[in-house]
Amino acid sequence: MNALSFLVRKQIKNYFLDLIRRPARLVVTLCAAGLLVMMLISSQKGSSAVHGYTDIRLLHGIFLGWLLLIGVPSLLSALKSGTTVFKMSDVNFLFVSPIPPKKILIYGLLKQMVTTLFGFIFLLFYSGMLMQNFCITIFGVVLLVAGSVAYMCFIEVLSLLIYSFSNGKPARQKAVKSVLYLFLAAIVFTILTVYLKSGCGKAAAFAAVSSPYLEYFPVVGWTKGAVFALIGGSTAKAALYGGLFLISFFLCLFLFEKSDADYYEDVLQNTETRFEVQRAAKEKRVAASSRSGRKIRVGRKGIGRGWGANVFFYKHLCEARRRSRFLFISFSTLVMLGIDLILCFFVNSSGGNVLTPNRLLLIALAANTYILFFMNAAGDWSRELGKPYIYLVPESPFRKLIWASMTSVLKPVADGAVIFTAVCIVLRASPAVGLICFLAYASFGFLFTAGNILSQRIFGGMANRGLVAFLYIILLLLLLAPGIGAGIAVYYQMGNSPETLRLFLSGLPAVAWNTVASLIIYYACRNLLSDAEIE
Amino acid sequence: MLEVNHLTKRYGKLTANDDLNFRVENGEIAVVCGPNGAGKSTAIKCIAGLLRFQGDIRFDGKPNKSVEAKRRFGYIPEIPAPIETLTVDEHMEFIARAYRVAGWQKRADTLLRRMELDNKRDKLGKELSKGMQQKLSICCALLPSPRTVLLDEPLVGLDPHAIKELKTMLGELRDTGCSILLSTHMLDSVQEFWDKVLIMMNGKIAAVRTRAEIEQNGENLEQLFFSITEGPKGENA
Repeated sequence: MNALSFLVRKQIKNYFLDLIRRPARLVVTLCAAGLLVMMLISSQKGSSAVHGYTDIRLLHGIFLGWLLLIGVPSLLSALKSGTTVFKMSDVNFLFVSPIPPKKILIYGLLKQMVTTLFGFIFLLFYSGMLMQNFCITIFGVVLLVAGSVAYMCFIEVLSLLIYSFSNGKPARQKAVKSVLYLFLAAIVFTILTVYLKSGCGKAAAFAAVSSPYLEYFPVVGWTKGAVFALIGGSTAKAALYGGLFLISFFLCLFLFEKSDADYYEDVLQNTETRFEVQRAAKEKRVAASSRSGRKIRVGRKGIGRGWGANVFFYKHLCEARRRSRFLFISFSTLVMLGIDLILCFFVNSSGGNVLTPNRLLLIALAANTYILFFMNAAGDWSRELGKPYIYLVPESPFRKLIWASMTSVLKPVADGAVIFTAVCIVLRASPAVGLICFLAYASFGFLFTAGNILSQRIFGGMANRGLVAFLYIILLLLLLAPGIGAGIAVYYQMGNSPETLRLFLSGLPAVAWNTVASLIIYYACRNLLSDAEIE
Repeated sequence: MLEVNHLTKRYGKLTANDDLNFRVENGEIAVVCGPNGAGKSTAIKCIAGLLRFQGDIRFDGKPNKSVEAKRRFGYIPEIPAPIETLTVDEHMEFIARAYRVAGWQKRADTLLRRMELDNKRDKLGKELSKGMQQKLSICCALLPSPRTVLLDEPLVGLDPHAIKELKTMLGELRDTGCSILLSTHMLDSVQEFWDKVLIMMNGKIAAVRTRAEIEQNGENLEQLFFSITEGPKGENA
């Protein structure tokens, strides 16, 4: 039997056997799959045109932006340090075997496609939102995911080609980078031109981001064009763009295979780096190879303050200072602000009623809380648990808990102050609603940090990381529910009150619940650090 | 002094440490050795208070997870985990502040010099090689002048100078009455300085010998190790 097909069959078989042998993982997988199916079915039933659909041209723009967002950083990274579709085990066992390199390359690419497909399945969780807001079916959502997967596979092959072409040749690297930036500039130029020619405003913005000219841009435009042609039922156009995509894909593959470069060498360094980073991530430490990453500006030296448990707080401040000149206000703050403004701009362009500035502010709060839900888990507190010092330092566990999680609580406070002040000013919303949004956001930050602590207390001993992550999300949702539920109840109770007062008062129960629940969790988990296990 | 009584650690159905009992006296270097997977690192992590366990572990009579016990021991992990965004100097400052070590600068200077890190003081944790990270980890553990030192495979990744210097430091610590517990699977590397050896196999302590006992009975440590870890076949080999 062919060694590679044997390997593939065995890997697939062992994956499923492993799943069966680990009931917890099986349950999580089945739950996730069930949830996905339920979401797809319910969103299909729930999609209605009663409230009016958002203009599909906005989805054109979002999809193009998404493709650029996942593609360009990969290409830039490949230019710098190469890329790989292989694992360390492939290097150790396949590269040294007498199997022809071409076959190994095809095996690697196929495996990468499957990995990418699984990686992008999470996009289906947004299917409900897409189907309810845009006039597309489940088939359309699947096409968007499939298009993303196909595009990423092309990016992998192009990355390999670029690396083998430019590795060790600074002039070529510079040239490739220039071409890439020119390409991006041309896309931006096209959008701006159409926008200005269409007379500015919302309609012009929609026309610009969905311009047919954008579909002429190689591969990214063709991918978008093919997907939307299929969604729109234009088979001939889809075939044209699909054909162009396939020709590009195989041309890159052919050129890479025919290039003088030894691809084993091209992918080796990156495979080793990725292997070390993955292993380090599993062990919650920093891989030595990751030192090639982002340059940290040291600036002012020394921690300077703190004695005993509170040194964790000052250490985190010192680290925050090095991540951003403005301490807690970082690039992520600006990204959230940008998302809020774009969201508010486009929400009012949907087919339904135009929302008041105060209600738009609530949408910004919801979007920011959603981002914080995931971002908070990667804060200073979570990072500290991966190092031994938090357990070893001879201080009271409660004091260590408070000081080590302080910056995780303060960051949303700082972010909220900046974001809601700015959004409130731009939208000309009521300062009272701005204030309640800020307080709610800060209290959500407090609750998420407390939820993280509680999750450590309850699930800390469990070895299955996937299951812990799943249970952590469920736990946070349960913690969120009472405050949000009470807020909604207050909102409907005050049906005849002025909008500002109604929104302000309906935010107060959430703020109160989040704060009280967080304080109780902190107190209940006061001995966590004397009873926890290093992750 | 370190006392370990009935230490048991389970991961689900797997028993990583099964009812371990031993003591490390003041001024004694005890070596835990055994093949891969014997449970050495798990035992050291339990003793350092990083894992939950059943049993009783005390440093100078204080329970290992108490604040008083934490003041008394230093821990050097198998895999160093420096703080990526702090410099070498700031690691020392952090430890000094966290452990409330007054007048720490002079001792930090000495440790960094002995570990040849004095010219890397402004390097960030993430910029250090694995060997240098391990040296920094040693300096951090020794800065608060602990009464007990726990070392998990400390010689892995160190250069010859650092190995020599660490061995000298361990000798000096023993002379000051410090108790030292060190795990390794490389017997040769600890041959010259151990006082007590604990041979682990399948999560249990299969044998305990002092240097005096080995010398008195005419035993050979390597033969004893293989007779335990590989059974009769090992003895014949």
